[in-house]
Amino acid sequence: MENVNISTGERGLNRADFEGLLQRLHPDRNSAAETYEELRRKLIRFFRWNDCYPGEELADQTFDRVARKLGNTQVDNVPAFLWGVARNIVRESRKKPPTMNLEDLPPLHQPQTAHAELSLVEQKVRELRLQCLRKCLEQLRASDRELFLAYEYYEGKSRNTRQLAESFGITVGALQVRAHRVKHRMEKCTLKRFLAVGKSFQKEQES
Amino acid sequence: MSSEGEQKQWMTRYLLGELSPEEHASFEDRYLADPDLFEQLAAAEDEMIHAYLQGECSASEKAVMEKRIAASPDWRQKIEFERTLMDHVSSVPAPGAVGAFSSASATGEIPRARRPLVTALRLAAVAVWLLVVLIGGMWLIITNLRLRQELAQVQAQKADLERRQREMQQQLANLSAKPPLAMAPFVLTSHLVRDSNQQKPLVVPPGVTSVPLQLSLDQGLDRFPIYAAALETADGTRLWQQSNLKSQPSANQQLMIAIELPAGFLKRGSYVLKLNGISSNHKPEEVAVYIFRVTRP
Repeated sequence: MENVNISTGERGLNRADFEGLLQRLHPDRNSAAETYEELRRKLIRFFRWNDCYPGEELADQTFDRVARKLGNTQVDNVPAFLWGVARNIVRESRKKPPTMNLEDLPPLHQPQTAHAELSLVEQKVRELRLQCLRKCLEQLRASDRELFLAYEYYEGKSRNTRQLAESFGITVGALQVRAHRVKHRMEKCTLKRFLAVGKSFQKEQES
Repeated sequence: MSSEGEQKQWMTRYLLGELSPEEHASFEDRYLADPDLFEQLAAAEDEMIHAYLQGECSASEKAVMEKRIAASPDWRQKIEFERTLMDHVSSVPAPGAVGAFSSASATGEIPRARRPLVTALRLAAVAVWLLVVLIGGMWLIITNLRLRQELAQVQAQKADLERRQREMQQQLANLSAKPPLAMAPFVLTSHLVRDSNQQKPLVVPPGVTSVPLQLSLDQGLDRFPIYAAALETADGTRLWQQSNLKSQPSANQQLMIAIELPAGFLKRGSYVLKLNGISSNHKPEEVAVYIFRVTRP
């Protein structure tokens, strides 16, 4: 069971606390890892819906706090406790004054290139992102890819979503969960590839 | 909140931040307790983003979306991904369309009396097809010539743009040619042996180009001739690595490995630095993991 790869932001969190958290999510380590990733995906959405950023960092912070508490507090329902902590983080985050890094500024506030050059660059960047996404889609299992693309094609058309769920022999809820899980993976994979291409391009320019 | 339409309205108002604090909290209670509702809300958010990208949302929705996009890189990343996904989905055939049409074409045998007519029609179809191919071929040749001319123009423009870019980069380099700031080495303690005490955050001041780190190595782990270090983000993305590192005793006889990280890799956030010992038969073995947080003033 040591092969489970969990992406975690265990800043300042010791291994025992983190293992304790996983154990409380599920006795089987693989299932615990799945539950962890699922909760993390939901937490990121939750923070975005509450205008609290960066979502990934806050999701990790939530897990850190819960893991530490589990060591010295009686908690019967870990997911419910986790959502309570997440809501506290939202409250705290609203009290803090907003901060922004220079690199976080929206493109509007960054130096502008001439219009024709910008559209050419934007077009290239868009094509590059598309290539990255296609590479990521190629890595998916065929069944996941079929379900995800069909869901995306019909998204927003509820009648078709129902028919689609029926054709896969699952409920609409299960279809949405599976499609959103794949989407989350694709988003991470596309960004990772895109950044890697950007870095190699930067190196090329420097050399 | 009984009907589907009413629920949809609640979801839209929640996502647009139009609910009162009490309604907001109550709706959160509901979707946090109901996984199906959570996924419906996620689908509604994606739908809203699609509508925004296609210019189909209302003015108030557009204003909210633009405010969020301006306020957060998370949102910009999300929007960029949705746009890419829409580009891809619009470039592939509709799911199920191929199967639906292919089954309709196989409709059985042609009646015997109609066969000469069918043969004549087939010949006519072949003739039309040949004509289309001929015209198409000529059109392709003409288009090819025109495209070659356009390509030459674009290449010339590209060369000009590259030249201007080089000039601008040179100007930028001249402007920013200041001596880089140096910072004192930051000591990291292994996460594997550390107790619950937290690692202090690593503060990277502006203007620093490289960050010196001292990786503290515990007794017994200095048996390797060389070491390799790798820097990863909290989600496992590898950013940097270096091999052929050697341990050295510090002033207080603590074994240390010194490395220098390019400051450009270190944004605000958490990082994992993994240290492997490389044995004489070139076999790597994980000896220490350092987890630390970076802040930028």
